[in-house]
Amino acid sequence: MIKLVDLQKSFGDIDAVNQISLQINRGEIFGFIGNNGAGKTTTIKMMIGLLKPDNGQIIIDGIDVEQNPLKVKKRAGYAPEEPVLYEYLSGYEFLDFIADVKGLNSKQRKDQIEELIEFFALTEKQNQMIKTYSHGMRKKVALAAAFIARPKILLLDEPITGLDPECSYRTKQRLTHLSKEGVTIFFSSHILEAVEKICHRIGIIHEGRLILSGTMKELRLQFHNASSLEEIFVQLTEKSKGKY
Amino acid sequence: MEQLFVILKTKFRILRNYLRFELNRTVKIELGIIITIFTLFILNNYSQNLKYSIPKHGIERALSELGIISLLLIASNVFVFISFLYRILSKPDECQLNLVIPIKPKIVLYSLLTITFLKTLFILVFALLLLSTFTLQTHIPFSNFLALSWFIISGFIFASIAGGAFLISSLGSLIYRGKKQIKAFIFWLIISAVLILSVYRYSYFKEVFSPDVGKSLRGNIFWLASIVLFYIASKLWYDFIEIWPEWLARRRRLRQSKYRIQLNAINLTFGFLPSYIRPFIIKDMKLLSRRFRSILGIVVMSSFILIAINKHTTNPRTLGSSLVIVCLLSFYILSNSYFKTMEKGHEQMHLIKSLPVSPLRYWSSKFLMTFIPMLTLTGVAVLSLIVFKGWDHSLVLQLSGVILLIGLVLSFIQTNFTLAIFPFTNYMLYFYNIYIVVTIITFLLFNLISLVLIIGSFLIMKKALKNFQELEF
Repeated sequence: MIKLVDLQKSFGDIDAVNQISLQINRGEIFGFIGNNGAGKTTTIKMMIGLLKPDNGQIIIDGIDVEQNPLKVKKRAGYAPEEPVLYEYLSGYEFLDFIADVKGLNSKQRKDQIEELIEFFALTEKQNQMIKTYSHGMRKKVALAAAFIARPKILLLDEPITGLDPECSYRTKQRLTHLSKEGVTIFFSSHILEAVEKICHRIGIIHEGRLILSGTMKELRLQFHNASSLEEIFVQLTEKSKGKY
Repeated sequence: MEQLFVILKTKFRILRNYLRFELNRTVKIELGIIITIFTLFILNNYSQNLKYSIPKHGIERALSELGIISLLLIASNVFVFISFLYRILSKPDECQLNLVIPIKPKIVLYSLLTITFLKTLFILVFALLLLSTFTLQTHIPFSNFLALSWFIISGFIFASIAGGAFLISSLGSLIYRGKKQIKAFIFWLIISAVLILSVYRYSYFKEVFSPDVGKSLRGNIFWLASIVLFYIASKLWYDFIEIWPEWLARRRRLRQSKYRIQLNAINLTFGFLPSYIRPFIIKDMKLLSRRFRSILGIVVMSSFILIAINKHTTNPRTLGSSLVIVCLLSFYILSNSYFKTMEKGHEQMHLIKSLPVSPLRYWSSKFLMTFIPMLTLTGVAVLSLIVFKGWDHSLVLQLSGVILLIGLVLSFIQTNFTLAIFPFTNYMLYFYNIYIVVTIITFLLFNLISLVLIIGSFLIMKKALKNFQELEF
């Protein structure tokens, strides 16, 4: 479903992403973790077509992102780390805009928006301007925008950071439910407990390189002293410091 | 004072880093060209003036020409100060007036004032250079001194306008505080009256420097009083700035109820558009309707058109041609600001690029959005002609057809340029504005150059679509 082949992206002298290759199957939740500046956001941006890779290929649902970016964007939902919204639109209007751009008819828009607004507990604030929203609420709107039009692929950059505990729990539940319905989910996060809990497979990126990937079981076998993903991550990144 | 220097030092560091980042090779070349042209102009004036001097009776004429420069100098300074004032009153958070570090807001304000003042010094340097050529012509060494006095005058004008703005915000503070309202209100009324009268008095330059000592003295006392009261009003304003976030939040909550009506009206009006461009037009129209400046722009430009119609004779030819010019100029001014407000720079284009939006789809919606002001202005003109001038319908239709056709061409050029140079880089905007103005003028003069410029904009359209495609975030 998602295939990254020798992906590379540099900014000047800095290799933000260096020879990353991955394959994620349909219905899988893939957790992408790494330190700040490791290359997680750059990778996701290349997958949604916001950045062009210097080398390599990205195939999403059989479509090359560079050749057919529009087709990929129609099938994928994207939520950035920092929500980018129109401040002078209400939450409802913003979601209506996104849904309209994605080609939903008015009834579909209404039904899906109302469902998402209820899910993210935005009912009271739905007609207020986004300018008045807190950071957590903006994050919810951005997530809701990613879920609109029921995409087959979700590319989420730190989706649960900034959410309240209840919403965070329900979002994780929703992601698990969606993956069972065949939606492929690729998300980055610093909240390792969440990644450990819901992801089928995990990839660890360090200084632009994918240093490890596998299921939680496989990772535990490699690091038999580690009791959690957090310990595995710290040990691995300590070992990898300066190696690349 | 120490805190003030800390802030000024930091602001200059930000400016230095910004210039290092923004001043790429292209900008340096363009700045070099502008400075070279300006230097050549000054040197040319000098060399011409050295060849001859104006006879004594020509001095008065030369001095009257200085009036234009003085107007430009004062207007530029006042504009800089007003922009500063608008910024601090409408966006105090962005101006860091509500800092969480232990620096008093008034220290931050002084730092901003200092920087604004330094900006106006640049304008003064240019004015002094221009005036020095007149010094050579008229052999009056005080021409340059005049620039300084006009500089001071513009400072007074700013003080008056600033005083007015401070008063309005201090009134807001008094109302919000709700304490001793009547006494505070009377005090506020006195301050306002003195300041407004000072500005009114000030408009008579000659009286302030009048040989009549009594008049001159009264004028100057009035000015002194206004400066003192301005100081008191600014004290009240600091009070207001402290409660600003709370006041703003309260204002926002009160305004929410209007949006439901807007939502339905705009959806109904533009809901019939094809889905290819509908979401963008509805979104942009909603954003437009919620920005006071945009609505003010439409009202002001429509007023220009109404004034043009009512002031002119009933001769259709005269009125028709001036109406075309007024409509087109109004459209140009409006559409310049409309586009820039819709995708607020970098961040929101990031959002558009992550959606399934082709370059042509985005271009089409922006083109229509640029043209909508033209429709509005033409509508105002048409209605006014029929209602106020009683024109024949067929004549009105012909005229509106001409305006709309030209408007379509201009919208085309505007959209292409704006998309081609996105993300906005200020120096390119000067070039594209010159291109648009030249196109309007040559078109109205029925010059073939306009055709070349219009064809040129097709090439720019190609660049615009390519630019959108290749934009990286």
